[in-house]
Amino acid sequence: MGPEDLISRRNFLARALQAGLTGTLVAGGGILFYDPDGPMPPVVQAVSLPDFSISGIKKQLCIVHGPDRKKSLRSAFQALGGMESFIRPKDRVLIKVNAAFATPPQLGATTHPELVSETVRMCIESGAAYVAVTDNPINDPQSCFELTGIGPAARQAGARVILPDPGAFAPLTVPNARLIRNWPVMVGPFEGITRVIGMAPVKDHHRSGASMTLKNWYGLLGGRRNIFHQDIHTIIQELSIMIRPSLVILDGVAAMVRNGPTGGSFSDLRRTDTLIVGTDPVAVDAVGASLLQRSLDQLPFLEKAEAAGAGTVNYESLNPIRITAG
Amino acid sequence: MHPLDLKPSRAVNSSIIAGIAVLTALAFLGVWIGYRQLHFNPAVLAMRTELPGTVPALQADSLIFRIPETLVAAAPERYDAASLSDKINGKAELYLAAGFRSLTARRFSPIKLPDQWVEAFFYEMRDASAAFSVYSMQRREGAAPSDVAGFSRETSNALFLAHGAYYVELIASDVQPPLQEAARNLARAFVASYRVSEKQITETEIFPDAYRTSDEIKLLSAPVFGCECLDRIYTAFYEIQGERMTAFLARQDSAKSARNLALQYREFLLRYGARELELNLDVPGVHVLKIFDVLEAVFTRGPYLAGVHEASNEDRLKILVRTLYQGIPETGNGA
Repeated sequence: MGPEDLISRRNFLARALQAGLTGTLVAGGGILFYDPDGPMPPVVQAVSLPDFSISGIKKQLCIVHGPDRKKSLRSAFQALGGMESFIRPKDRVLIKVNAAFATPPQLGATTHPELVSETVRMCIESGAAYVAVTDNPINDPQSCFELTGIGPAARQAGARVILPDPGAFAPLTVPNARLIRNWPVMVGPFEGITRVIGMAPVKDHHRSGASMTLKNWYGLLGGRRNIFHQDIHTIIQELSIMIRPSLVILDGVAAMVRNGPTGGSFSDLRRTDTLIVGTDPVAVDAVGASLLQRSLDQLPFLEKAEAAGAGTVNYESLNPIRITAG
Repeated sequence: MHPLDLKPSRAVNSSIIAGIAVLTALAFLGVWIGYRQLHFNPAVLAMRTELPGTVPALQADSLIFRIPETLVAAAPERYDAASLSDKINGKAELYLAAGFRSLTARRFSPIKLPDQWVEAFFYEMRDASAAFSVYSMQRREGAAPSDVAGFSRETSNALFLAHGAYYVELIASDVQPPLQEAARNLARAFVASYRVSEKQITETEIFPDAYRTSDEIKLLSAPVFGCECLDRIYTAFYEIQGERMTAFLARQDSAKSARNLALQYREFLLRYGARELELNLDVPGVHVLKIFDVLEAVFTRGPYLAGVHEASNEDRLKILVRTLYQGIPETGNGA
């Protein structure tokens, strides 16, 4: 290093000052932009589901006896004035099935694909512009829809199958609810929907005593929903007011009378040859309870749902139509 | 001197050599990374096909991988206590209460019926009694005993067994002989591969055959008969002169523990309004109590707690208490 490389005192002080100012500016900027609270979760507007119940008609209930699901379904709607009484031209229909398990339909743990396809066809015959079938089985939705036969049946009949995806969930709070508060619910498939049909099999349930149309809405919940099993009757009560369907269809042709909700053996099923269609889910489930030979005391969620205003357990008060499918 | 005539110095030469060495090393590294990307370890690929993937592989899964005439139809699914309800929904509580460790589930298809399947559920429980508990709690109507394991039975489309610390369900998608045969083959392969020590559960063999209505023996978890103190109690049904009663039995760590538990149960009944009766019975230390018009009896023999639940007649209760007492080995070592 020669003498020409030496820095002058003046130059050194100027550079030191520049470095000091730069450091001060960076530190000051850091302090200025410091956020002691850290990043906040994105603010999402809590949503609610519209009331899909059909206004202007009195509550209706039809109990059909017969072993053939398709015939029973047709007979039920014929007795109730036709599917046109519930589905209008241009309606957009969402069918919530029970596709919770990747099991074959004959084990009775899921909605039977024959009922799905026939309901879809009847909706389209009534002029529905769009019919979709959905559920949120936590366990591999693709397998559940395919192995239960629900997916192929729905598609062949002309419906769209909607599998859960993260974008379909939004936080939802049920008014005056204790459990469903800001909880992720699969609301995406309901967008633009004008009619909702719930469709479930009659099953024994280890925790709730029975799984029918009211418990079926549990499938819309996201997150670690299994925690609700600790207070199963309350969660079913809250589900009963979270969603008010246009109508529900309860399949009691082969009821799972024990070892529910999964079953597994054909010996867990008993032929009860009954299909229930109605606009009051509580009344429909009350009929289903009789197929399981369960009393109201054994299924507290029914009276809790009635107390919440979701329907009546006294299904006879609706003057149900009783028929036998030919 | 013309600049082009300058010879590269030794330092420049060294820099060039070092640069070439670094570039060569980077080139080798790039080729190696590319090769590894194109040739994944099969184990990595296998892991990626698993579903929740939070539970380590079970011995059960590897044991039954190759069964004659059976194809593997799907990747294994594994569940722990936190994720069990993802698979079996509301029935998870039954397993969790009994001592659940993990579940491996997998579907298999017979070669003859590739569109059908048998789904195998291997529940790893805390111990043999926990596995027996969930087995015994899920009786299937009309199930017939099976010879594939000590505790096994089958229905037209399913086979259930408890073997060591495992409870196994093999569920066929339909009622067809090749499916049922595949289920039996899976069960036999599992039992043959997973050895357990004999006589892990002795209580089931102690219940006397006399007056017993069926081979149905259950292992119940607390609270048994409404009493929190009674946990892991074996029960069997008896019928004497038309009256159906429940006998119960549970081995404790010692005779003293058994006596303490008998006293706790007696106190529980007294607390809820029971009245103790003095009956002439040849069973030492037996307590007979009347509560809500039914009779309860509890006694011990060695390390065994035993008794009769919900009898309505004193004479019939006495018969069952004596029969049960005589069936318990004096040594308390089990049958």
